[in-house]
Amino acid sequence: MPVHKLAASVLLLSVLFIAAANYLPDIPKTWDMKEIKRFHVPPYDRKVAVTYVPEEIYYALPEYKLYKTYPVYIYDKMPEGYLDSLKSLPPEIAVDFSKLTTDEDWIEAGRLVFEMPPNRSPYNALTFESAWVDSVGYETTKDGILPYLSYIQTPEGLKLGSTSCANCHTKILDNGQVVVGGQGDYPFDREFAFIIKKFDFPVTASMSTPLVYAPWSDPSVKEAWAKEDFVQTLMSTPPGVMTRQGTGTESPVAVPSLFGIRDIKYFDRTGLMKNENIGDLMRYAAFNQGMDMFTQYGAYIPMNGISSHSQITTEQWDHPFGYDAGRYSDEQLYALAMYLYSLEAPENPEKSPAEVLARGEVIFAEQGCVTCHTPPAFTNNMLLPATADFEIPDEDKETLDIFNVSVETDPYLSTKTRRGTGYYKVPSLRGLWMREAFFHDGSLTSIEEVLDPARLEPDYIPTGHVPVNKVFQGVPGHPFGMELSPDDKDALIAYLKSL
Amino acid sequence: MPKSVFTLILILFTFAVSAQEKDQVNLVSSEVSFVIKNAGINVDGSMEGLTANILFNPKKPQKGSISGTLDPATIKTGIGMRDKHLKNEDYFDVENYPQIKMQSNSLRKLQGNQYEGLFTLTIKDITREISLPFTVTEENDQFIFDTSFEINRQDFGLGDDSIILSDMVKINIRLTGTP
Ligand code: HEC
Ligand code: HEC
Repeated sequence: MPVHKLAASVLLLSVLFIAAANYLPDIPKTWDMKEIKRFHVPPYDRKVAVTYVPEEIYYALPEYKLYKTYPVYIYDKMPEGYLDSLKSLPPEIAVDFSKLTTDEDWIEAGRLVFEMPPNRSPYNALTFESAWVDSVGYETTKDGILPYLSYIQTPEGLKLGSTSCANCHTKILDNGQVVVGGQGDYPFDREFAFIIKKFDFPVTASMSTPLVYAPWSDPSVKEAWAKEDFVQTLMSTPPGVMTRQGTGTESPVAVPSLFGIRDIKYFDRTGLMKNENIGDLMRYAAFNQGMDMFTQYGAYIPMNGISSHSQITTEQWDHPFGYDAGRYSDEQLYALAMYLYSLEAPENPEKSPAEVLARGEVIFAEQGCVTCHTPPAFTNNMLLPATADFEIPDEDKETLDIFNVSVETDPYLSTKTRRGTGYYKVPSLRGLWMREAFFHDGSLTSIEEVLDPARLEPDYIPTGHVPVNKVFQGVPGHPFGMELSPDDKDALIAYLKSL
Repeated sequence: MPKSVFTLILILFTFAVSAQEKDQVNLVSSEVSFVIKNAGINVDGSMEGLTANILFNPKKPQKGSISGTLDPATIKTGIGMRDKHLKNEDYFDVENYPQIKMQSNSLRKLQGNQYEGLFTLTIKDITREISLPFTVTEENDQFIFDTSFEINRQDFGLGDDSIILSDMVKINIRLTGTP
């Protein structure tokens, strides 16, 4: 090897070596107002001015401390003396961010952030006796663990932790396998309904308003949660669906799968936020873990008791779901995003003969599915008007990726709620085999039902979410792939389950 | 002098009228279909509402002319929602452009029953000249005009770049008329 070449390789190697040794990621700033304005899609009602929590106020909130967490068992399966042994442990910080060097370190730290519960209740707030577990309908592992929740030992004592990412983004398959990042099946709404019933919890407008009201909602939404209706509506929420803050009484939302999140250009069914860089995923997490409750729409701030951003202080923080004051640090969010990027879907157990799958693939193309659900992500990553008569604002043509035809599913979520933008995104069809909630509101529970023309009939009662206080008109829209011979439909379904 | 000009005009005019009368082909039926590849699969479609004004004499094709309009709002591809999309401003924008227009600039004979015409084709607000081969067969005292040609949909502002939808569209037109 000529000398100069050798010298060049030595130089190159040493540069690489130095780079590896000093690996420090370039962490984006989460609460960067310019970035927030780019990434946040305007609300359905464009006349309403939107302002976000100012940077200084956001960064003045205390950072969450990542104390070590421990599994939660249902009562019947809890090992002898388990809680007492946890209570005797000292609080321990689970990760030291200054010591992270490799990508693997960051991913592992991100896993801990994913599991860290921002909401910390007294450890015995819920003890999951079997009658309770059965009536709410929790899934558990074979060992009786609820992987959605955790105990967390803090300086204030042992707490029952909830509302971690894991709480909503974990699924247990029929065979007991825990799928982190799958379509979450924690029965949030039903749990809430049972708490209301069991403890005779008062339901008032002050609860519904922060959760489901938007200035462009019907004003009746504020009062809609008369107790019985409300409880019944919550009880009818099927697995994989929940009333996330900013959705509606008539439309909860299906929980997405987080596998391959990097390829998804718009977050949320309504495409409320863009996913153009890792910082956007960090911002998404920050907003959706509570900061969105402080976004100001005209004069309205969802959070109860807050009428101006200057009131958002550690002392006054009173999250509707009971969070302690806090925010994730930028490092925590970066680690979290790295972890989400690293998630891999479990192996697909559906096995159909190759000829059936090949036939299914042809039908998928023939029926035009492929235009919207385009491989490899099985979405063209575009937004479709939620209704046929939605007038697309001119600026959207510049700033959004719009596929200008409506599939005419129920428009409520996108036209009446805070998550509403006037659009629905084309959802990815990857991992359909392990999903149990379909369409944005989870009104359908199987692929077969999606493709069944009977659901279009006004008297059809869907198997999934059915709002109690709404006159149901079947499950309209998305009339694709319905008129097929039984064999062709089977082949299409087999193909869809293979994705 | 004025008189002769007048006569000339009169003669020309009469000639034109008689040519028109003699070579006028009255449209009896029409079929317009197209094929485009989507994800490697041929999608067939059709359009209706064709009106045509045809002057054609197989012996003197260069004296003839063919013009016609088509109603893009009648587009059918077998999937209702797709048809709806094709009618909006991303594609045919039928509200603002209710007609597709075609007008021959010249017609000539190639050989046998084969001809070639230079046409201006207007889709939306884009007009382009295209050259198309066509055949004319006489059957049961009827003329059957057949043509099949390709256009690039993006040349006429029909949709954007797509990784699955091909740019080239094959169009087949068959007109039947009585001389
Ligand atoms: C209380 C339940 C809940 C918690 C806690 C929660 N999520 Fe979600 N998440 C949801 C629901 C429901 C949606 C669907 C929202 C929609 O479509 O409007 C969602 C959507 C998302 C999306 C958008 C994915 C897509 O394809 O549109 C991402 C990313 C995400 N969550 C990440 C996280 C992360 C990271 C955390 C923790 C910081 C977290 N979530 C905490 C319930 C939750
Ligand atoms: C014009 C675009 C378009 C076409 C064509 C299309 N889809 Fe969809 N698809 C959507 C949109 C948008 C949704 C979400 C609807 C909603 O949430 O209200 C959806 C939802 C779905 C869902 C439910 C997934 C979920 O997570 O909610 C399935 C399954 C599906 N489509 C399969 C198909 C199949 C199979 C075909 C062809 C027979 C097809 N789609 C054709 C746009 C399309």
